[in-house]
Amino acid sequence: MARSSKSTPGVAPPPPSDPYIDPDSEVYAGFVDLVARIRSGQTEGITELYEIFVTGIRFYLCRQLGAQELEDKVHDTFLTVLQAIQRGEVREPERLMGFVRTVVRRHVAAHIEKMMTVRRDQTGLDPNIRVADPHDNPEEKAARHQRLTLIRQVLAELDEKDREVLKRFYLYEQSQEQICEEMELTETQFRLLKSRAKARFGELGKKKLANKQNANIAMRISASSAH
Amino acid sequence: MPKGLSFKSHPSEDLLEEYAFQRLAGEQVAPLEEHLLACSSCQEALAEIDEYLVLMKRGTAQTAVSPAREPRRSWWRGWMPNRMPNLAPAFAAKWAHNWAWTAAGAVACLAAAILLSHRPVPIAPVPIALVSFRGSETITAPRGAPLELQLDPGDSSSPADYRIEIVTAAGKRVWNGEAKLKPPASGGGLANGKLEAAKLEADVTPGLGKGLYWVRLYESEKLRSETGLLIQ
Repeated sequence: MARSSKSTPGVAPPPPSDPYIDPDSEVYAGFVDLVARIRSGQTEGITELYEIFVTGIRFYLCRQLGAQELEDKVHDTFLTVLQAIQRGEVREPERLMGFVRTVVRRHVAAHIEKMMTVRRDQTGLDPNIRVADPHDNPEEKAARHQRLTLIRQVLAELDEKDREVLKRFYLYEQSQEQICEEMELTETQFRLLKSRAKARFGELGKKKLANKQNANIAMRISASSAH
Repeated sequence: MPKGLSFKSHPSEDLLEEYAFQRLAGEQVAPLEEHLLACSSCQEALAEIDEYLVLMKRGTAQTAVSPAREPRRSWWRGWMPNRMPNLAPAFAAKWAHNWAWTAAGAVACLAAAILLSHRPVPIAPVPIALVSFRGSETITAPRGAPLELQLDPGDSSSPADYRIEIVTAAGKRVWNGEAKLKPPASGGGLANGKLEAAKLEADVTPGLGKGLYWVRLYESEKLRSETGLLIQ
């Protein structure tokens, strides 16, 4: 099923009717088989487990802890999951996703606790400590700057009231209910404004990308005709 | 997506947005995070939402300071028509134009007078006591201000040569100078209920730029201590 609220200009996405999520019985049944195969020592089961979860584990850990030493953490977490399955510690194989989540969360908590302990026990500031630079590299920086310019353009096209709505939602993180109440908006008006701004951002981004590609093609043509 | 694993339903964009804002209740977070662990399309969607939220936050923060599309108007242009509604518009505009030039001249004269009478005011040095305790906060000092560093000479009572060196986090020396041993005002007795001790003092001028520095204390050219100093 497609995601339920893709932004379309002029059309307000439907209100979030979930709390997600339909239990996907087929997926759950597949996990029972997968766990059984890993327990019986089939290596293709391990490969499948890796393919299913390693991207998600990496994504979760990166989001929670940042990119520093990420691959080591992903490896440790995956190994914990795998060893637990091999030892038969997964009592409900159909709930494998929940088990993996628990393991990942424990790893995140353990890492944070470890970092706190290290920081607390440091007797002084050690000049030899190397900390990863959290800043973007020049390419990422340029891309982000470009996207920020697009956002500014989108915001500049809005009138003061619409900008105020977005500011309250994104900057001050007010809830939809609070904004609608204080600014006398209906839920549909609010959702429409939000989705329009997002769609406009995507539209401008695509236009910019298309212009860039056209410029590249033109450069290639002119370069080849010069030979 | 690996073979044999495809989901029939996915969380909505709104739900992912609420998750990104960390507004979901615990019972909503668990199934969503489980799904995210195995669904690459939702991971991509959430990454996009994260990025969009950051951009929107920055974008709206900037418009909060300088509203876009709002043409900047001189305050007097807004003021004039209100005060002279019955005057012919052409006359009002001319009057306003002349008045503005007069005002601008007056402001320029005033600015010149202020600049000519300006004398650089010496900035008082900021006393910074460099002491370190296990697990304590980093010592901070203001950027650009001269510093009066105060250090504890320890139990050494010898009239040694003390030197202080300040280096950047990368180890580059930015200041080097003598530290003077200052005997306690009370001669080593009690003052305000505390036992006073001798201090080493060094005046660091000019002030330091923003960043993390290390203050090294040498006694007869032997390194005695090193303390972190954060300039903000």
